[in-house]
Formats: sequence, structure tokens, C-alpha cells
Amino acid sequence: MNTKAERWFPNSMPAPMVDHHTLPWWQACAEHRLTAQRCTACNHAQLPSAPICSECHGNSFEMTMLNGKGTLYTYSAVHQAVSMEQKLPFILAVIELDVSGTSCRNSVRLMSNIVDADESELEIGKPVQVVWETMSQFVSLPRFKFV
Amino acid sequence: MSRKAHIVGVGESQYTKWGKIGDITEHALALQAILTAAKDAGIKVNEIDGMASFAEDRNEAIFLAAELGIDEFHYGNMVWMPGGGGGCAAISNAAMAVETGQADVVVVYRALCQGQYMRFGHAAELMVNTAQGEAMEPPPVVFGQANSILLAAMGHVMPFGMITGAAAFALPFRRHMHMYGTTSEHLGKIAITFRKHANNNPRAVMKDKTLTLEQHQQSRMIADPFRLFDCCMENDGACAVIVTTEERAKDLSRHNKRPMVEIVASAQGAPKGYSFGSFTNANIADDIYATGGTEQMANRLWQKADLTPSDVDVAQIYDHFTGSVLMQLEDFGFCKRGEGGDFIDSGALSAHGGSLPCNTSGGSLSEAYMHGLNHILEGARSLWGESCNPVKDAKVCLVTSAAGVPSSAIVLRAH
Repeated sequence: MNTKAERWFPNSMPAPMVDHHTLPWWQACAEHRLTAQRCTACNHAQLPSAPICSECHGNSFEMTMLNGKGTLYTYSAVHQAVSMEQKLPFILAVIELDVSGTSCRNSVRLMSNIVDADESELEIGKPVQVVWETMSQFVSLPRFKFV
Repeated sequence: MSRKAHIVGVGESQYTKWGKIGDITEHALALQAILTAAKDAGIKVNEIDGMASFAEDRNEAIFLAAELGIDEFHYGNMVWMPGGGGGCAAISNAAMAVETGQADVVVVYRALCQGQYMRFGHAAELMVNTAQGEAMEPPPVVFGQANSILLAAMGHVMPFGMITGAAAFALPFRRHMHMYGTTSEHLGKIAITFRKHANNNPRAVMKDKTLTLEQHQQSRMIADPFRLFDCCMENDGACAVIVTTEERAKDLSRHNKRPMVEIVASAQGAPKGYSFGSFTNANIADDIYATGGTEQMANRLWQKADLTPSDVDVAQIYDHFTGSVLMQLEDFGFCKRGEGGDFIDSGALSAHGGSLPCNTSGGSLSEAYMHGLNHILEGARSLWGESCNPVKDAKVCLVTSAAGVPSSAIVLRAH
């Protein structure tokens, strides 16, 4: 568990833009819970959240908590600064999230970052674990480290 | 079918580097391109009765129509979503309008002076909270409100730094490299081929700048594996294309002494669950992730056109990024999935002896980045024999719009 409130990105990174449907996911993040929206009728998981289930068109959902594990699906070391105060390059990563132990019938992927790793360590398929970056009392963001 | 849609004229403004056109508005450039295209077609401006555009073009048709003195406006159409996925779809919309009798002459246009507004990749800077002057406690990070589905989708990835096209399309290409062994050198060969074509093109922004593979390999990294020369330029300029019926095209063709250029077929769309593709969607299906996402659409297009990739004499492939060109060539069946690198190595894309001369005016990488409308101009020109890198006896041209986002494509044929 990350208890040290580590920081990797400056506060001047773009803030999450949320709407009525995605807010619950971001609220769970603020509580350091990694979740996926799961349709209670057919168990299809969606990320980001949406108003209806794309498979059965139901609108009854649960924000299912995930174990925070995943694998690196793809990545890019990005040299374009999004914020003036950023360290470059930063690692953009698509993480395939582990849904084992949940009723989700499909895994989902999340756009995020790899932190505390050198570019030379980046390899598709490597296992990762979520770490939380507390941006403020309102916003926390999931990042991932190699295990 | 005497209403079958044809391209009869094209025109563009001067192309410059981003932000260089400041003494003339983007709006005026759109008019300039339209007037030039009408002249090229040999039509009177007030024969135009329809207008179509894409990419949320700022220059609304209804105002341009009034300013052009068009007699009666019969048809206006916009293709959704920013960026370059919709250029061919705009041509398709114009073609549908003339073929169904909604309009007789439709101009498709796009004008881009992002320096006068805001660069696509700089959108995030408006959200940056930079502390100025005195050291003050900056305000805490809070949520922003997403006022559209697009903003909610982008709002899910921007906090992680996913904003630019280079980053978006680097992600799938990295998997392509991992799965098939494709290399940065393959990308460099695409870049230098198109640059060579641009060096023969007096309109090209990069006309006077040569590019070697070594220069490509040493250029700075933008979003790994995409280097500077893997990325399209950002430019100011405008383009326009005149679409009309076969009957009208026949008259004009006699007058212009050009072959007729038929819009044989068009297709647009996206695979299941695609959303805005690589820009916002980490959940693109695994079996199409390391592709341009345009294979299904390409198959529909070939079927509608009753043609195969081997029938294509020249291709204008949307080149926002070299890697996307490579994946889209596979999507369209010019080579097998995963063999794009070998295809490039064969020299296929060169206008001077290649089996598939490609981006013969230099493309977005070296001519100009007009969200792909200039590819359509070059497509018509390559069939009229007016390209700066002519392909002998070219009869069939494929033009594509951006891979990696909902896309579109057309097949043109000279007759």
C-alpha cells in the first residue's frame, strides 16, 4: 500500500473533466479505489463509465472494485510537455486491468502512466500494480509501477 | 448514370508553416480556395449550390455561400469530429448530394489557420494552472466539468498526459513493433519518400528541404517511437474540391481537355466500440489495436468499387504519422497484416518506380497538413496527369482519411 503520498506529476497537469456518468469512477479514485463500471444484468465491464451497457443496454450498474494489478499493454515515452513544470519524458501507458475475483466478464484497459521506471524497463506484457497520486483533497489519480 | 459524381476542379491557397498567415483571415482563405477551384473547374461561382466540409471547420457554409453570392443554397453538410478522419466522407456527402439531386455542384472545402486560433496540440495549455510572479499557493486540483461526450472522453485521458496526436498514435504503433518487428527505420523510409516527392512540388511547404534517413533517425523524439519527421506538419492554408454530375463533368472535360475523374465509391465509419479511436479509447479491441482501424471499412470500399488493391495505380494515404500510413496500407490489403515494414523496404511507395506510388505531392508530412483534403486534390491531379510526380497511365487512385480515428476513403477513376 502506498502510504507516503508520493508525487510524480505537477498540479498543473490537466484536471479530470467529468460528467454525471464518469463522476463515480473519479470519486472512487479520490478514495484510492480502482474500479470499473459493471452492468448488473450481464456483467459487462466498461471504462470509462457510460449511461447504458453497450451489450445489453441495461442501466443498472455497480462500481466494482478491482485488485489494482494489471499488465502493460502498450506505452510511449512522451517528450511533449503538457504542463510547464513536468519532467520529460513521461511514460504514457495503456494498462490491461486484472478483473479476477470480480464478476466482470471482460477485462478493461486504462490510459495511465508508468512511474518510477526507466525507459529501458518498458516491455509489453510486464505486470504492474496501481499506486495512487494524491493531487489534492478532491482528486487522486491511479499510476502504475512495475512489480 | 448521368448524375454519377465526378471531381471537376480543385484549388488551394498558399500553404505556409503554422501561424505564418496573419494578414489574411482563415475565412478569406476558404473563399480564396473555393474561387480557385471554381476557376480550375471552368465553372461560374454561382453554379455552386452546395457546400460540404469536415473536422468541425470554423468557416460555416451558410456564411460563405452568402459571401460568394451563390444564387440559391441547396445543400450544406458537415462531418463530425475534429481532425482528419472525415475528408473523404465530406467528398462522399457531396457525391451523394449530386447523385440524389439535392444539388448539382457541391464544393468541399477546409481552411486551417490554427495560429489565428489555437493549435490542436496546444489545447491543454489553456487548462494549465501556471503560477506567475509571486510565490502563491496555487489553487488545489479540482474536477472540471465536461460539457460534451468528447470532453468527458478526453477528460479521462488528458490528466495522464494523453493529449497530442503523436502520443495517441504512438501507442498502437508500439504494439505493431512488438508484434511484427517493425522498426523506426521503416518509418524513416516513408518520411524520406514523401519528402522526395515534395521536393518536386512548388506548393509544398517542405519543397526546399531534403531529408535523409540519417536525419530522420537523429531527429528529436516526440512520442516514442515517433520522431520529429514521423509527424505531420502544422500549416496555414485552405483547399477546395468541386464535385458535380457526370453530365456536367463531360462538358467540362471537353473544355478543360482533362480526363473525367469519377468518384467510383466511398466508405466511412468505425469498428465496434471505437469512439474517437486512439485519442480517447484505451479499449479498442485487441484484434484491431495494432492496426489503423480501417480494415473493415477498406473491405466495404473495395466491394462497393468492385476493385481490389492491385487495381490501384496511385494512392494518397493520410499521413498524420508515418506509423499510421504503414498500418493503413495493411488495412487496405496492399500487403499482409504485419508485413508493412517489408512492403516499405521494397520501395513500393516511390513515385519513381514503386509499385504503389504514394503521396505524390508530399502528403501531410511534406506538402501541407490540411486534414487530408490536399490528398484529394492530389488524387484528382494524379489522374489528370497534372501531378508534380506523374504516374504514367494512372487510372485508379485510392485516397484515404486518417487511420486511428473514425475514418473514410474514396476510390477515384479516370475515364
